Amino acid sequence: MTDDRPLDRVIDQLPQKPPFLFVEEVLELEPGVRVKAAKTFPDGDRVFENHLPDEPLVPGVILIEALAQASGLALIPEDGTPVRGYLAEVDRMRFRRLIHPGERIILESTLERRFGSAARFDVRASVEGETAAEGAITIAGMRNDA
Amino acid sequence: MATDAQKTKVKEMLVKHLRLRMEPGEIADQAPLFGEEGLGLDSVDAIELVSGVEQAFSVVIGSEDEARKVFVNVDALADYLVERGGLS
Repeated sequence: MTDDRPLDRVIDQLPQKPPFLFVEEVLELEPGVRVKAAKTFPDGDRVFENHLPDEPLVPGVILIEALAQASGLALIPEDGTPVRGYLAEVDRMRFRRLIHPGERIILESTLERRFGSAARFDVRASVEGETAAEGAITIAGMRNDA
Repeated sequence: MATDAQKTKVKEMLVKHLRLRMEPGEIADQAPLFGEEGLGLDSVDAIELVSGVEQAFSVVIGSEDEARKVFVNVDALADYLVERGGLS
């Protein structure tokens, strides 16, 4: 993270930490509304170990986790107070494109609806403009994590 | 006041959209939708329920406050939908 990309600092507010942190750039952010982030899994990254032995691919469940973490970024209010929430539902998730090592994944999440301590997001992962996965993710049990 | 037939439509929507493992007829008209004593729905279900009401009855619940007022039990939700023209 550098001063050139001040938005990236919000990533530090996520409860997830490496090696289970799957967001590395924040490109656009409207707190409480939407986020556009990015992640690249380089060749040799642990997520490719035996997935698959002869054809390294980003696992679909890792992609879902990346989209959930991006949604977590969108939940952080403007003042930067950390928010803790838990993945509660994955709905209508469709995988439309394989993702290979080194491909830059754009993660987009937009709040669809919020009720109490739960929030549902429309999410999309894409590579070079092609949709790789899209669906809806609900984060629940949200609370300040300061 | 909603009729029994209208309440049945509400119960059918609840079972379908919330994927409840029960029959519509097993839901009492006045059973609380949320909390341990009733259907035991939670905030994630509430989000689904707002979507379900929109899809099934073309009624948009505009705010969380409004939702809290009508997501009390089947009676309250059915009466609200009759009032808003979603149930005829």
